[in-house]
Amino acid sequence: MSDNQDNKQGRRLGVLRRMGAAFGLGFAVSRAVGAAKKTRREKKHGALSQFGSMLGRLPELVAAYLAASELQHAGLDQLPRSEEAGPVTGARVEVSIAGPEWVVPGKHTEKLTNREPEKPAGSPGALEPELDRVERPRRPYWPWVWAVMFLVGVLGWILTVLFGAADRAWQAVLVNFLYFTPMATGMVTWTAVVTASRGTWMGETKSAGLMGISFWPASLVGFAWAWIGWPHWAGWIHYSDLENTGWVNTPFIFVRDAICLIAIWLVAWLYVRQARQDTPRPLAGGLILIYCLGFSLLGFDLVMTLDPHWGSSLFGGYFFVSGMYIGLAAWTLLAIVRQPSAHLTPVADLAKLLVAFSILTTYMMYAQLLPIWYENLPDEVRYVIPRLQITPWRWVSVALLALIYLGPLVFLLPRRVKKSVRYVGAASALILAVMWFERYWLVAPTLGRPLVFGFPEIFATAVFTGAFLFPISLRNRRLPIVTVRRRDGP
Amino acid sequence: MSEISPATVDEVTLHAFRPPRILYYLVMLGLSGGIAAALGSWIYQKQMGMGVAGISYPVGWAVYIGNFVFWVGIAHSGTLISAILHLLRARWRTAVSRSAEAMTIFAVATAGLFPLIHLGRVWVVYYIIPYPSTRHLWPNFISPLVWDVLAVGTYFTVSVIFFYVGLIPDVAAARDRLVTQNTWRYKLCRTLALGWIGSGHQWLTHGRSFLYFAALATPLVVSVHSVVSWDFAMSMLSGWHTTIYAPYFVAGAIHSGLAMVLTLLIPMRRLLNLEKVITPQHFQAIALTMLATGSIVGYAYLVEPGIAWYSGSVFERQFVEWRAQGWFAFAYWTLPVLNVLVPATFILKPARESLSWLFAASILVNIGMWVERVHIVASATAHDYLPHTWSHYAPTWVEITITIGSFCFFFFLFFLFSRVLPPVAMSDTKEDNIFQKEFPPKRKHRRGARRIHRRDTGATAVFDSPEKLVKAVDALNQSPFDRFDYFSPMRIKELERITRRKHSPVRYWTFFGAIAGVIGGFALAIGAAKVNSLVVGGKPPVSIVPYCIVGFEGFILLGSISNLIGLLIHARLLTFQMPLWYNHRFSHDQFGVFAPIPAESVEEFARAVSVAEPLEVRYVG
Repeated sequence: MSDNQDNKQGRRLGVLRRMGAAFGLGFAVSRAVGAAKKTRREKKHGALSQFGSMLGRLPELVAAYLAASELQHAGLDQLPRSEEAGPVTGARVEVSIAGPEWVVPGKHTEKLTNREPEKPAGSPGALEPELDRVERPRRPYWPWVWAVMFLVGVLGWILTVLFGAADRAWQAVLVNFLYFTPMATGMVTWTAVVTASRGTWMGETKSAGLMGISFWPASLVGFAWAWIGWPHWAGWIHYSDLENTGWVNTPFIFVRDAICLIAIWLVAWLYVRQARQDTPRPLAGGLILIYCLGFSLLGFDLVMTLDPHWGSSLFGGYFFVSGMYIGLAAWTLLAIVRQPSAHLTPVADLAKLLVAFSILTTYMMYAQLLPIWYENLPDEVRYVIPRLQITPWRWVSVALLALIYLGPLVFLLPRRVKKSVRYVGAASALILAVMWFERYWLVAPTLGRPLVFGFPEIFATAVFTGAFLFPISLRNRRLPIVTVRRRDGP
Repeated sequence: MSEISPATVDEVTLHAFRPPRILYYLVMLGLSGGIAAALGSWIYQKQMGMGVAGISYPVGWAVYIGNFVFWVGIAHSGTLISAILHLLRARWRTAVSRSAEAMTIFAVATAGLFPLIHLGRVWVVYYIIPYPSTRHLWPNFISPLVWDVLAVGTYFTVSVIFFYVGLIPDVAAARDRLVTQNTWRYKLCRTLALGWIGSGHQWLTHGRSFLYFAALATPLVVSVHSVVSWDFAMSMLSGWHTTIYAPYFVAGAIHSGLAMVLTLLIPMRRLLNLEKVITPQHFQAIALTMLATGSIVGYAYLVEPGIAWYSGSVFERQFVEWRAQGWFAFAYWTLPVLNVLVPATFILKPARESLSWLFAASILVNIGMWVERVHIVASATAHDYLPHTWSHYAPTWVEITITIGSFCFFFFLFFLFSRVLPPVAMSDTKEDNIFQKEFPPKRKHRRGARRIHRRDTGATAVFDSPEKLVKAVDALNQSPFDRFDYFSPMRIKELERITRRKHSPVRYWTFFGAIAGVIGGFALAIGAAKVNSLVVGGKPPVSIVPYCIVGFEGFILLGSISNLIGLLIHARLLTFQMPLWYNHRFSHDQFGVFAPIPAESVEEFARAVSVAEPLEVRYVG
């Protein structure tokens, strides 16, 4: 190893140590602030705790508005408040009522008042509105964890760009954009799909799906961010003999994709607004349509065009179907994390959808592979050969086949597994993790990059993960959950 | 959907069994004439040679293969409605599912004729069946034509089984209604019902079995039209070789099939007086589904030429231009209008609500989809890479007669079905009506409802509503009678919850059958390739990528067959002797429980079920 390389490595290690220290410090500060906040409640004195409490109040203030509007939509601002446990705002409320069906929050209070007088309390089958418990959010520090993750990610990513891994760092931004944007919009679109097909099983999971909308600013910024670094990943710039420059030229690609992305988020936002107000016919069909068309275009432009000599008419279809698959896994996981009890979450339905979408994604992959394999034309197999015949990507392909294409069919097949929150949660977490590598596998071999998962990838993923989960956790800890429990009677 | 009583469902459906009017016979006579003309034309074609058809070099595939693709496509909506919508728990499917399933079978049967009609030497068709011939020649499992045989063969078999399994409770109901008349129809229904008595055990096994059929049929329907599309996509022709073909064909198939459902059901509802069962809401739901499938078809219409142009290939680009401007352009421009814009009108509520527009639109979509199939098949071959081979194509009278004859054949079978078998899924419709019912709360003791034997003697109690039956079963659960079974004209899931029902063992049958099928499929393909180890078309003799299709079709075929065997065994079917205590109204509008008890306990039994107010309690000894 040359001296130069030694120096570089030494410098990198130094950077890493500093970053580790920064991360540790950040974590320590966040814990201290949390502890100070707790201390203030108990003792109400001390300058540090005052400062900590101010900081601690910030997310609460931001979220108060969100929670208030949510309560208004849910018709719950009139619910009784428990004196000992603090106000309902900012708490996780579980209302348990004997009843045969799921009731959406908006209709909930109405149902209580209508039904209560029918039977005397205590008699079999009587509907007893009881506030099971009003408690503080169990993990109020999660928004902080995601915020710190985001900041550390940004810092680390900048360092990786500065210290020689620029190509990989920018590529990681693209991969994460291609992973998180279809995921967040996919979560919202899934609720639209269920609404449009007149499904009534969503219950409280609907609000978990709608939370995907909070990613919109990060998605747009993420796109702009990827755009800034286009020379590091835009594969089409290396070809001068293109026949289709009218379509494949950098400004046109980014302008049309930006318009497309804004249109997707705009429709999603309009849909979410209607869906939260329980509008009887929200913009569900429009959202589904724009999701399919929009992510087809983004898939064609940002993935297929990386090798502009390769074209597959099904690629857009594959891209949006697999995006819906990621969105479904994220929706399932979030619904389970928010409400981890089997009888409250339609977990079996979500598991069945996961199986169906794993098969559909596999089908789209196979329908693309088979004609290309069969014809064996040079312009077509150039996409397949690096992934199927060249190590280490071929092992990635095998792992994808085992874990996300056919895997869910096998491990979610038993009925008991489909009904278990733990197993379905684990399966969706696994799918989410492996689908990140699927996005990576779509991009990196085309650009001739090696299979490395190191700091550039970790930091970029941390930025997007933080940006995705921070608003969700903020909202989640403010959002009361109202559920109607199935009970067979006393 | 409006609620109707079980008795009305039976009455309305079995009304179709009354003697038909003279018009029906005239229509059937006309259709028979069409079939006879087609048969004559085919014999003429066999006598004179394939030259009498318009297919000649370079257009080797044209209307016949287009018809094949069209009819396979028509079949798919039946499976969509009966299987996919069953899995999605779309309750509206029940009223139309039977007709759609029947349509599936007749459409596949019609489709299956066309490869035979298209063959010059039809008498050697058995060459394609994988059997060990004396010359040690096996079919090449890398060939899309062999996949076609496997896929369409599997599809036909599974569709027939699926249709039949759904039909069993309904023919049993028809049998019990016709029991007083010893007609041919009674004998037919009695044979087909296989001794169905509607007991709790039978309903449980039947329900599980039907669910597994639906789960197997859903991927099957996707695979079949994908395989049909790969007949084209595997070639090297511009216009045929594109990756989007599989999902595009599947969506188009369901699109055309749904249009055919509308075309058939709108008049059938009127002619057979099924207005109470099949309501305009059903048609609206179909129209909305067509809106979705039409959008996918429209997506493919945009993307396919777009990517051809994007590829920059001179061959692809000239083909796109020729298709839009050449002699076949009129067909090309018809497609988006008829297949996308016409169903797009369903987005407007008045268009969905108008039955006459739905009927007209369905016919337009049928025409559009037929033109699309023929256009896809004939245009690519007429305009390939060598300009000196470019040619025209126009169908001859032989092809036209045979095509018209195929429509006659399809409608003939469908009209025959509508008069011979119950045209509405009666038990499903009855179940649909109690779906939303809330049963009173019950204790959680799970006892009783054990298996009983047909030769047992004992007491029966008869009730007039599902609620009373549930109450009676609940009461028996608390009583000393721990061996009894219940009977109903439809599946009541609530009863499965409160009785000691374990999961039906048919799932093991299905699972192990499917596993055996996938292993067998791969073994067959690999073994056949190993016999001579020939490199064909530059492909290695053992190629796993295409063998996945063979394995998949084996998975579905054996899974379905073993599911059926499991159903027959565990539901105790194929026992034609009816128990003495069986009440013929159990399949109609009444409910009952039977307990094999001695005569002296009858009073106690009657006391136990008295809370449910039975219509009668009887001892049969």
